[in-house]
Amino acid sequence: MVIRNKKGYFYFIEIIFIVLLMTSFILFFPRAETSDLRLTEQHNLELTGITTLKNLDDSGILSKNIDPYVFTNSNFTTLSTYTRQSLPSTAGAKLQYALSTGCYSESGVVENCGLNTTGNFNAVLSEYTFSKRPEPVTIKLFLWRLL
Amino acid sequence: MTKKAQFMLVATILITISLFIIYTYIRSADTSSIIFFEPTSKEQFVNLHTSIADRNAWLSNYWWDLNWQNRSTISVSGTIVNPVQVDPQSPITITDCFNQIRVTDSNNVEIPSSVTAVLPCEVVFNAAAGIYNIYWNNPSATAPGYRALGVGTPAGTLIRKEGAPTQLFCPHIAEMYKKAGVDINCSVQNIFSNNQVNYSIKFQSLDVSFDGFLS
Repeated sequence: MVIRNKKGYFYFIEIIFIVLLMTSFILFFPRAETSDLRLTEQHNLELTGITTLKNLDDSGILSKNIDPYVFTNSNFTTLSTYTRQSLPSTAGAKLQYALSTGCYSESGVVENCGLNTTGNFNAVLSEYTFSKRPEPVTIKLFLWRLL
Repeated sequence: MTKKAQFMLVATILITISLFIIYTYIRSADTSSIIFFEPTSKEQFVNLHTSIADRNAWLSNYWWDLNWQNRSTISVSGTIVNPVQVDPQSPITITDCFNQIRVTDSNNVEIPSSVTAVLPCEVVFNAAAGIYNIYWNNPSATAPGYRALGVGTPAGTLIRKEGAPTQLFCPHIAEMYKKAGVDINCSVQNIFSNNQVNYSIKFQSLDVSFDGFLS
């Protein structure tokens, strides 16, 4: 491109600004869209977990299998089976029970509260408090999408 | 307007628009990051409300009357000679048995009973094989119309003793939610009829603010 005079120079500068402007638009939309989709997906996964636990409670499965007096006497195998079978196959899951005395793993063993985040940085947490026993127990369901 | 001024005007407008878009793009990325790492509390508040409603429904069948703070669950079995006489309190000494003792069957339906003494006492009532709950520890209770002193045949095995579950809910909720970054205060405000507990709740998080009563 040959700039022959001042007018041509102005047009050249204006074209550069327009290119910059369009580039900004192009950069803007994909980023916002990706973030929104990702957040929606995470939120949906969280709601799936809550709905699953609520359904297990409403159907009486939690009442039947969580011991009302001695938590460690609960039927953890049945609880785990029902919970996992209620979840979509595209979701990875970890179940944890929280009481005032500490946290218990899916198999009823005392463990640190929370999720060991190795490889599960995108996990969401669904919490459901089962209050139909003298001491309530909060069921923590960590969910993540399997690729 | 000269051509140079016209160019400067157009260039200024374009630069302003460009800067604005760059600014909003950065803000968008920042906000997305913040939202991604900051959990929302709407679901936790819904969970709190649901668990209170569920607990109240459960309490209406689980405990005869929350004004009575303790109960012993007794199993009566074997050869039964009525009326039976059971020791509900060991090792706790029940004060003012005549006024405070109540007996219910396994469905928490009250059944008439007598006591062996005012303090301490054993409880006398007509039983069949089954589970019975003996409630005590309500200092404001007065003697029911059927109450008398009496004796019976020793019977019954203590299964468990427990306190009213009224006070167990709030500590659990407070501990769970404080770990999740929610500023929460929970206490029992009052108890309505049929064991409906009314909780005073203050729930404060990034996206939920509540200060009131839930039952």
